[in-house]
Amino acid sequence: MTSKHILLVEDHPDDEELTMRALKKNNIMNEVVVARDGVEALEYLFGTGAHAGRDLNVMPQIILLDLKLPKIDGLEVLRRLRADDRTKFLPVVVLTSSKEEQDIVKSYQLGANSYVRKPVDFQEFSQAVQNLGLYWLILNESAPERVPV
Amino acid sequence: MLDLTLPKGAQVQALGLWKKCVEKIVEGLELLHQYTVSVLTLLFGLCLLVIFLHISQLKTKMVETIALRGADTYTRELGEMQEWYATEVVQRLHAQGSKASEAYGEAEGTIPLPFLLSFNLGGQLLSGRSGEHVRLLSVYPFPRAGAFGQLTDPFQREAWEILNQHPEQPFYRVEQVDGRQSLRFAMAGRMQQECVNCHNEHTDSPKRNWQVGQVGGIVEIVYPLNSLENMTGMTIRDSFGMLGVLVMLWMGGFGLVVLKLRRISGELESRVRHRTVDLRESNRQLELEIYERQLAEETLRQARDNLEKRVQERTGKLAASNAELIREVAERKRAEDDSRTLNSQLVQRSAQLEASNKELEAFSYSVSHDLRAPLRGIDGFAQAILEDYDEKLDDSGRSYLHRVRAASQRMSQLIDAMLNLARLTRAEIRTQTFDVSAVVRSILDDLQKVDKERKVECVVANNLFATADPQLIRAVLENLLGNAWKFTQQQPKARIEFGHEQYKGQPAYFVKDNGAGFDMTYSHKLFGTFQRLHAYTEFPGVGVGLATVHRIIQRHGGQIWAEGAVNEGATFHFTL
Repeated sequence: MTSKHILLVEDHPDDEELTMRALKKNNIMNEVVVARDGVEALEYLFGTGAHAGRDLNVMPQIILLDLKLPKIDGLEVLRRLRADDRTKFLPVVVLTSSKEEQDIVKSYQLGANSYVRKPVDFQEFSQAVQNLGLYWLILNESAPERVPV
Repeated sequence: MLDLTLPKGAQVQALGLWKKCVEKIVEGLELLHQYTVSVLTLLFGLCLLVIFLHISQLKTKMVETIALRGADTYTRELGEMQEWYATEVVQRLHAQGSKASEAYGEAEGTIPLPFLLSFNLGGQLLSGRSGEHVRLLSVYPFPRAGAFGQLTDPFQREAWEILNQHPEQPFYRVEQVDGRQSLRFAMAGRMQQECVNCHNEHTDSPKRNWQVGQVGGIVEIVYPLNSLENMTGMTIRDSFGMLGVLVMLWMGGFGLVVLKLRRISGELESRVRHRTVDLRESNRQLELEIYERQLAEETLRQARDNLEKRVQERTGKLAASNAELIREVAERKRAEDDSRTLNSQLVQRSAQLEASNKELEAFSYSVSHDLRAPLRGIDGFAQAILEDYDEKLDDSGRSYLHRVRAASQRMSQLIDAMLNLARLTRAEIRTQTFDVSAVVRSILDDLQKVDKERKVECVVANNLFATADPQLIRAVLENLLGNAWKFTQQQPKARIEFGHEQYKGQPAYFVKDNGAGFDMTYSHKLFGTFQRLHAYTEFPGVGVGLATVHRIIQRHGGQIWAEGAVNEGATFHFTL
């Protein structure tokens, strides 16, 4: 697993497929790890459950987080990420259907780095994914992997 | 009936007279009061004079009485003595041989005749008393004429006559004798038995037929009154002198007392005058004070009356307002009850509303997430087919897929519009004053940027400020201006105007265009949700914009209305 992989937290297979297509269309060849609910996402990030024993030194370059998720929703995932030293600097882009004000405000309050609404028009969606990839995977400089305590 | 009353004139006269008398008496009393000493002195003098005159008269009478008594006693004594001598001495001695004779000292054995004896004795008794003398008188020619006189003056003749008639009574009179006031007293000498015997026999007797009781002669005594009068007069004068002195002294004392009293009374009067002046002064002050008091009382009374009036008025007003209050309280109570009921209803309603709001929120949240996801799938995969299987599709297949995409996108717009409407309905209004003109310009600029080909004449009134929620009003203006922009797209000389005018005393903003306009018949449908007055192909839209605008204006307490005609443009007016 490369260090510059993407964690996609998305429960809907259509959206997953479309996102993957948009990434591929835009030549973003980074590995994509898909978690289909909040629990799975947290297990992956903290090396527990199905992902026990995973090398925690390898963290995703970017997390694309849907909000409406089974079991544990996106906002709760975000809260737990930010509460843990290992994950608190990970860039998180909230990628969701709604542009409800409460969702946006809460996301930023919990420490989301960005908030993007998934457009219905696929071309627009594709454009958005491209911009995200360009920015977070190429332009943005991540925090050092080992954060000095 | 007999009228006993006096005639009126007489009554008045009597009354007048009585009044005059009373006046005189009062005058006299006043005079006495004024000249007390003088008047009293005069009165005393008058009294003294009267007393003096009275006493003088008394004195004369007393003198006469004394003289009369003296003469009477004298003559009676002499008569008694002569009678006693004639019976006791002459008769006895006659019997013994002695003879009573005129010439009794000259011859032996002779004794004096009784009348001679009494005559001589009388002469002896009166000797030395000036003016007093005794006479024996008779009409008969007795010897010794010297002793026995004849009746020579009128008194003697009158006395003889009277005494012969009334021999037991003396006869007397006061008259001048030798220039002196004198009492002339005459008493009859009557013949006794013994006398008759002797006289009828005696040789010297001028008459022989004497009878018992016959008046032989009379004894006259002259008694000058002046000496006695002088004596009593002197005594009276002395007494009066002393009385006068006493009166003078008394009057002097009285005068002194009166003077003293006058002085005291003068002092008293001056004191009284001073006191009177003082009293008058204090009276004046008192009057002044009384006047002031009266004034103050008057003022007080007026104030009190005024106060009473005001109190009454107030009381009336209070009573009225009390009644009003009671009614109001009752109304309040009823209103409170109502409001309590309403409140509880309101609380209930508010809870219900909150619940439904929450439901709505949850609904719109889930719509926002869940309704859009399938649309994205439809659009995305249609696009994927178009991209990946382009060579396998004919034109109509491609067209259908494009229609699928368009439909999904329109559905997405509808959902967004609905969510927007729901959001604006719920959103809290945050008022502030802002420049509406600037907002309008900014929106028109945005529209121009999106639609660069369009040439629209935009007229925006400057400096129009409003106090409202800027974001919501921006949404309103976006809708209205967007509509104007949209509906003027077929107009070669498009014109959009924003301004304001007065409507019912408050500013009403308006957005006016010269576009497609609308039929006023359907104006009531303008602000309904999903209501459209134009075909989608003509002017695309979801029919939620004006409903949203209407909702926002309503939530600001304003009004919105529209005017228009087909192909003549539309004007939307709204107040805030």
